[in-house]
Amino acid sequence: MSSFVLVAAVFLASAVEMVEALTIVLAAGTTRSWRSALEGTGAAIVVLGVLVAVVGVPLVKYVPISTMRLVIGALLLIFGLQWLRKAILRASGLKAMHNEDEIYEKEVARLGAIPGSPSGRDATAFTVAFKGVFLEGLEVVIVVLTLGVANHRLALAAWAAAAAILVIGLVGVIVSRQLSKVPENAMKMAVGMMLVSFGSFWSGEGIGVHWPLSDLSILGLIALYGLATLVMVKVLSGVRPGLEMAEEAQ
Amino acid sequence: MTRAARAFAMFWWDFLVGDTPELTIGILVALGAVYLFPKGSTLAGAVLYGVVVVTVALSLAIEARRVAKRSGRGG
Repeated sequence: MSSFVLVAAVFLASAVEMVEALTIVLAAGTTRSWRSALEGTGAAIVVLGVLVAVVGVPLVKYVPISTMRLVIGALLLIFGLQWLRKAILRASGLKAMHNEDEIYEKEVARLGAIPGSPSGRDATAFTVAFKGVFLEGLEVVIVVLTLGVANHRLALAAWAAAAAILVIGLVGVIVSRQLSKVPENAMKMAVGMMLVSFGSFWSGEGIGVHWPLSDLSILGLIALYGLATLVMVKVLSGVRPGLEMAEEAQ
Repeated sequence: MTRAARAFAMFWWDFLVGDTPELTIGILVALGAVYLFPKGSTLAGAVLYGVVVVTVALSLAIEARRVAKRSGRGG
């Protein structure tokens, strides 16, 4: 059961980050050079893959599982709470939604203003695509490493991330510039709840908590954190109209 | 080398603390509280959940207050 939740969490987290990376790659490819943008993307994916293998495999082999679960659980709790907090603020209207169309237009305008290269390859497109995919991918690497290593299923987590990259890549090619249609905030909220639940479970296990029903408790934790999230969105949505009225009065 | 080490340290600082230090502090408090319970305790799990929920609620309240201050309501 926890394998399913693990795959879902890694897949969704990777998909969200891929949407953001894809916006940058599309902008670099459209305005500069598709060949260089794709080469930059490929190079970043290879570097990220090497990072997972170099850091992840020794962690699985040499670090005691209880120590790893405590440390990784704490990391997941912090990381997951940051995602969840941002998603709650966006859902309740206290923070602006992430607008991929707007980001795309800005990136196209910025890249279009840079003079082109006389040769076939474009260093700007390569660098922008590499940087975009690498930086967004680092968060995917952290999710894959933490969830994969603590569950002793690093390969499964890596495959789930690879599947998300493939699916979003294909969808990106088909829908091209309609990335704003992806329900990014809802996905981010779901991932945040899953990361916080895994984090609570593993850090708790590492520190000696007894979870009734063992791994099935993760599902219970997801439901409980989901309930708390709904309450917080509802409460904050009630606070927002008052703030808007005060802004209008100024 | 020093620059690389600094950049590495900055990455982890941004990742773990960033602009929400209250979340990191809350998690440390939660884990510290759970550590005080005897090993194998089920109640410790409930305490962990409770402190985590309170932590995120507190962080959201801080942000709501910041927004209120910006819109000229709070003080």
